[in-house]
Amino acid sequence: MPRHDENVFGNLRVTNFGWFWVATVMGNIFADLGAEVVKVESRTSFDNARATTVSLAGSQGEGLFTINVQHSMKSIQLNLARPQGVSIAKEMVQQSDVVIENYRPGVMEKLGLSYAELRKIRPDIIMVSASAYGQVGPLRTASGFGTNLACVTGMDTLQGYDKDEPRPFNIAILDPMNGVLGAYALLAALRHRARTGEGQYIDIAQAEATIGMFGAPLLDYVFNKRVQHAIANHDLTMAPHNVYRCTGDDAWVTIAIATDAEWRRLCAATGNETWATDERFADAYLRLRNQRSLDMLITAWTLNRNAVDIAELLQSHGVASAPVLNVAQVAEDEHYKDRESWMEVPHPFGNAVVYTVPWKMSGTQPRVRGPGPLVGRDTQYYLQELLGIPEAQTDKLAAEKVLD
Amino acid sequence: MAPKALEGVRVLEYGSFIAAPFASRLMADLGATVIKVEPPVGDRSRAFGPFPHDVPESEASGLFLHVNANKLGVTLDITSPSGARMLKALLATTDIFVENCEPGYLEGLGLSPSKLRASNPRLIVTSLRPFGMQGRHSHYRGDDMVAWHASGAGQGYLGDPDREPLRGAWHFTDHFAGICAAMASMLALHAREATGQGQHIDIAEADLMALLCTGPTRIGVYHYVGTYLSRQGKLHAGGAPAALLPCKDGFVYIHAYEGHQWEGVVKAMGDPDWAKEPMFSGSFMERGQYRDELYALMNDWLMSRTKKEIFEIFQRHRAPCAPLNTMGDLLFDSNFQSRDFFRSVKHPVAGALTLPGAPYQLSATPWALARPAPMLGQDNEQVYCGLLGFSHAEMSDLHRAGVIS
Repeated sequence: MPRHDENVFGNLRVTNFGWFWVATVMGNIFADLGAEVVKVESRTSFDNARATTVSLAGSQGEGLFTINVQHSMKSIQLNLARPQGVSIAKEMVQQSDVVIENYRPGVMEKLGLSYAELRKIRPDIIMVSASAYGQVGPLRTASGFGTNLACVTGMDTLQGYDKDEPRPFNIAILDPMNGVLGAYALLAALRHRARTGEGQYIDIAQAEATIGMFGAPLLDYVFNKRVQHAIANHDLTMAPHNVYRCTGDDAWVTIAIATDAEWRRLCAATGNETWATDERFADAYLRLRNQRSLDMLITAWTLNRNAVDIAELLQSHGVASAPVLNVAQVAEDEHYKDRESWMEVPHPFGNAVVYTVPWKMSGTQPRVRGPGPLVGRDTQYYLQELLGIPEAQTDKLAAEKVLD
Repeated sequence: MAPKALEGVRVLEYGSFIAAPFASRLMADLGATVIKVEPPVGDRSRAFGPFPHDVPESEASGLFLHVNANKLGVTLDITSPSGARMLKALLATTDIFVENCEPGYLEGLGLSPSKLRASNPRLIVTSLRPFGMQGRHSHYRGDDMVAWHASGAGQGYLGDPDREPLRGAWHFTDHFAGICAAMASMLALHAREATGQGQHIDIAEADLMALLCTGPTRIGVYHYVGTYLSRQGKLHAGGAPAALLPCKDGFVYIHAYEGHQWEGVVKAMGDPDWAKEPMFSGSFMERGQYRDELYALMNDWLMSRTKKEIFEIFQRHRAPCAPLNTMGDLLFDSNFQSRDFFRSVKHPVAGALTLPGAPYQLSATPWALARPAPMLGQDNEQVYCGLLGFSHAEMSDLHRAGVIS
């Protein structure tokens, strides 16, 4: 498949004050297409993301998480607690098209880096702020919300074993989702700027962006005062629709049946023709009503079979099914390999495996340009080459702890 | 009227259920002209509900009304030669075509993305499939749950260790795919400015959780150390407190990682004597060894208070806590009300609809909920007569022949 690296955003510069995950995703979507995306960070207010997960041996806390999620980006070390650090940040913004940040609302203002300020030095700047609840409102500075977002948005009531057994997703799943959403909003704002020359400010309240998925369950409350809740792996319209235990440790296979034709194909594929004539399962409505019996029958069939073999067999009969994969199986899976989902990239402390870009574009395929940078890797380049600060002065800045 | 960021962008959607319709909804919200093409019987989400007063009505399905707001709607039987020709005619004036047909379906009709692009090189085609269009399992059928579990998300992060892994909330994968499809379509639109060429975008639903969530958090680690973690039930990590805990009227999520946050938790609960025990005086991770004891001791205090009371007391002591809001709670939440988040739009059949508002507030080109989702074939005349130049007599013949409805 022909793929051309067009550096679509070769002329775009992004200054990224973001930390942890959501802002990083927003940034490297541009970096993977050639934009210069610079993460501003400091040892004095360390991004804890670097300390998440295992670090490369010999490195001082170069965690595989940031090596992954900060891929293609640059890093400048700048102490924003020093006025000179803020001045340099402003010089960077003056040469930037986009500013990304996800501090607690109010922090950028305190630093003198609010949109109103940055607009004075770069009138067409596009700035995006991501926060839990948005820049205004009674909860704007509410504490401790990272992974709790799935609670306040009601998301956790919709996943779990049943109404009384909700379950949280074990990591901040909403960060990558809202990160892609933020990049979408930025791309729209860039189009507007290309046509009119006008920049703008984008306020993303992650809670509200998340609730944007829940239109139908909300309408069920509006229409019928019904509070929807978790139904495990079941579905409101399809049955059978579940994960079924297979042979092996924690091994499962998914099966999803939408139509009568698919149901008959499942019966044929599994060699259970009697199911097809069982009155309890004669149509979609009856299958939904009797899905517990159905789940038991199917489990009896899957229990001593291999998940991969089951999926292959059912798919050959046109039935939706796939193995439930664990991390090791995802990493070794041939389909993901076909799609070049992972790659090894050289890193100063040994090679690391990073994930690639999930959207496959036939003309301008975004690509990983390198691993997440070491803290401050590009400080000298940036100060000297781009801001034109002579070396003698950068030494002085370092001595004054501006570059900590 | 405020300008729109995607003014002049023409999108055609042949989408079903959530993934592709959600992608084009995001574009319509920012001002793109989106024409939704439905088969004559309508999108299957019209049968999904929820319905007002639980009375089934294809024009009043909550799922359809949510993911298709702000669009124009036409009907077309693309399996008929006339319908296929009309689809191609519509694509001649389209910038972005978004579709999530079953694997092989468009190819069978001679309408594969590459064929469509061959006659219109500026066209951007964005395709969503459970396993994508490249790779050995690209023919695999699947839905939201099938793709989710193939990404490692369920086994790794959702459910109890000794029970089955769970699917994500409310068709999470479908929505995530829609967001990625809209975003990648914008990438292609910007690329077209530079190259003059459209392109094909292949979105695999299984890839998204695998490459954007499972991957960065665990794949690198697995390759490096050869081991991996699996789902941990109600707990967030090894430390404590970090769990979804029951209270008087539901659940609260308590996650006190820093020492001062733990002190806030203790103060919020009125400084109980048990909290002074040495077993709880260590770090977050050390306390994790006694989490069962800890949660048992917190239980009485939690069970005698509502989630709202607990949230407010914890906030006063800057102790991290979140109430587990239900869908009903959200509509009455004072924070969302004060931000005027939920929006209303009037629909001719379903009546007044309350829908989630802006996912992002753009200062110069605001998000807008301008019109409700289209009735079946609502804009046939405007699109086929106005855009393609059909006469009313021809429309009548097309209707009689079942090409439109």
